[in-house]
Amino acid sequence: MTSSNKTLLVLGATSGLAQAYLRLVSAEGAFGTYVLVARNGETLSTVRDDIAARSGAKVITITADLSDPDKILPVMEDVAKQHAGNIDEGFLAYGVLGDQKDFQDNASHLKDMLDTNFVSAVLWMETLAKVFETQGHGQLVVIGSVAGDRGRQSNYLYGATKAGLERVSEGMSHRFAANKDIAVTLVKPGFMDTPMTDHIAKGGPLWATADAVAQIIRKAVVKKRARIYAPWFWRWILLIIRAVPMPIFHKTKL
Amino acid sequence: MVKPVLSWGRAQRYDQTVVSLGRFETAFDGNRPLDGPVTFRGMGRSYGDVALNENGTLVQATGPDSVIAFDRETGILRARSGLTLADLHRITIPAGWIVAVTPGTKFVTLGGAVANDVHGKNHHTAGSFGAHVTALMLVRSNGERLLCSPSENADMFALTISGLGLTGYIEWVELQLKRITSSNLHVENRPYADLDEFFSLSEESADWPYTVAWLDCFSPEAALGRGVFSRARYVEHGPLNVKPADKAIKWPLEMPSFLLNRMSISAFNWLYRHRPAATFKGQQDYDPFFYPLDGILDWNKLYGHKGFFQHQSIIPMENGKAGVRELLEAIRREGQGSFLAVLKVHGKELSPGRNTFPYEGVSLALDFANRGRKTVDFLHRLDAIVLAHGGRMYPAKDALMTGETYRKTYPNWEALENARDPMISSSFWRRVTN
Ligand SMILES: Cc1cc2nc3c(=O)[nH]c(=O)nc-3n(C[C@H](O)[C@H](O)[C@H](O)COP(=O)(O)OP(=O)(O)OC[C@H]3O[C@@H](n4cnc5c(N)ncnc54)[C@H](O)[C@@H]3O)c2cc1C
Repeated sequence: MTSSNKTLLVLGATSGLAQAYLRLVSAEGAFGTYVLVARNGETLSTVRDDIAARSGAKVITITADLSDPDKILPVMEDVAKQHAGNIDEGFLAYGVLGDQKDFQDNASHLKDMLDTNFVSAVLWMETLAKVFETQGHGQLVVIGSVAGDRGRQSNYLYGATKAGLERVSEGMSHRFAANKDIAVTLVKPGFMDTPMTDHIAKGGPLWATADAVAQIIRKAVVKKRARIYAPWFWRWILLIIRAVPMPIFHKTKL
Repeated sequence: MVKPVLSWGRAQRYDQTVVSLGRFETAFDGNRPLDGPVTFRGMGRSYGDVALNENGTLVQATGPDSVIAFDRETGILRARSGLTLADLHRITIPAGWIVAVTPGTKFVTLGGAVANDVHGKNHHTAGSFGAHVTALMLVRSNGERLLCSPSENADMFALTISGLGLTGYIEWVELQLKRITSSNLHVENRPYADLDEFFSLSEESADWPYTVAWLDCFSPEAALGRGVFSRARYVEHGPLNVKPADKAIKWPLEMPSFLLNRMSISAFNWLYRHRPAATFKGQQDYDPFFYPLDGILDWNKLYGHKGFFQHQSIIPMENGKAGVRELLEAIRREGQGSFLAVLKVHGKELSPGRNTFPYEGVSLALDFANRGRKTVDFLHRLDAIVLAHGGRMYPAKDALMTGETYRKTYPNWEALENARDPMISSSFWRRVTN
């Protein structure tokens, strides 16, 4: 049971990472109200029941297509109608991985991915930044990716959207640098074992569970870190990948 | 993906197609049938082959583990079957509720706990796990969903509890939890001299909710069955603490098997009997009390690459002393000692399960390094002793009993065979029904 009066808003609450994070903060009793938004209503109600049972807190759900910019206003109105108080933390967890090859061949698939991963995400980030400014405090968590650190033939289109989110959140951290009560954290997970990667053969030391990544995020949020690799070793792997000179890099198939 | 899968004892390794639960659900409509029969697998903590399916399909059932409802007033919790007791306790203990019956590891799923109808140190007062299951949802391979409870589909309920996963996919389980006002127990450990003293201690401790004894297989003839008796009850006032997820250490590698021999086991037993904790009296957290082995993940690699066998048997009370004595004598003669020999007096079974292992009697659990043919023959000799005293072996721990032994000692097996989902089978089931 929780006595917290804080509110967490999760966009893309049915994602594997969002669920792991929700379970973690439920066990901590960190929030008194959860507002969960996702597209798939059936899965969302499973998550709602789970988080309500685990946290003993109030859980509000809104089924909406987050990638649609026209839905942002109605969703925010819906949130305000069901929950009169502040939003203390926003967790932006939706996104599609897709297939690089398919994006190269199919412009409308590519546009959908760009809209979901970048355009709508930025609109949501700005919307929440405004909310935080108005209420005078708030924390935003944005899920980026190590794929955004260098353009590679295998997934530079997906990577570009995540790189873009990193610039936006970097700028936002700068914008709020003078305000100790507003913080933005960009998380860059490496390989993660979630439904999004179900089709890939997994295993090996580089794969982390969603639970492990969620714990890293939680620590970063508490410390108000602006940017974090999850787990930490990705920072060094990407440092090397970025440092490889182009002529050599171009000989690889990464 | 076809890959080899090991039993928890690591003595059995079979090739099977491993698929996720989603793949099982899409097989219902017949569009994409699965290869061969299907077995469900929880956390794979069964020592033998109940969760193995040689040349068939193994459906990994650990994925869905969400809680459906938890009433903090009544302690009734309903959750998807993949939830482990470790995770369940993180939710319920802070609210003052704990699972009413727990096996010696918290890394088991609700589905696995129901399918084996597991028991714990409080069997003499609380019965097996199934006695606290208020309802469950069974999904059959023809797409039928059966709500089972003591009042609805009661036959299927009683056959699914202790049904070894054969009656269908257990989608969710609803449990009545036990109220606690502290996560600490008052524990009393006491070394005892022989079997007679074990039985008198058990009798004297009958109103203690948790009792168990660890015994030394290499004791001298005169002190056969000596060990450390342990009894406990929850304290009334105290903290409600849960073990955090990341505190266990991992056993890194398979040990060379020569490290486990008569000398090392005798030394271990001596240390165990003489360590300060052997006479411990005081408070202990529930986690080390119930789950002493869970502190080291993958401890089953201790037995080297050939793995080991568990042997757990129960013998009716009237033959209990004689049966256990004969088992221990056989072990002494063989010189094949067991590290973790656990002895317990069981009470009347309260679970509705039709094929639940325990009954009023005394159970002995042992583990033996796998030394090939020699060990197999020896375990069959132990089976014969159990049989001669009217007892039986526990499928969750068994890898070797003959079909004849199983069918003779579980007379309700035929009812289970009749209720079995035609798409489901397991290596264990084929072994004991052929
Ligand atoms: C250290 C240790 C201590 C133990 N102590 C005890 C003890 O004190 N008492 C005791 O009784 N047992 C004990 N056990 C055994 C253990 O409790 C059981 O084997 C338990 O059933 C394992 O659960 P699991 O989730 O690992 O299931 P698995 O071993 O993976 O599967 C067990 C059975 O459940 C079936 N199953 C699993 N999930 C489902 C589902 N969703 N639907 C249908 N069928 C399903 C499987 O097909 C299989 O037949 C112990 C084991 C260990 C490793």
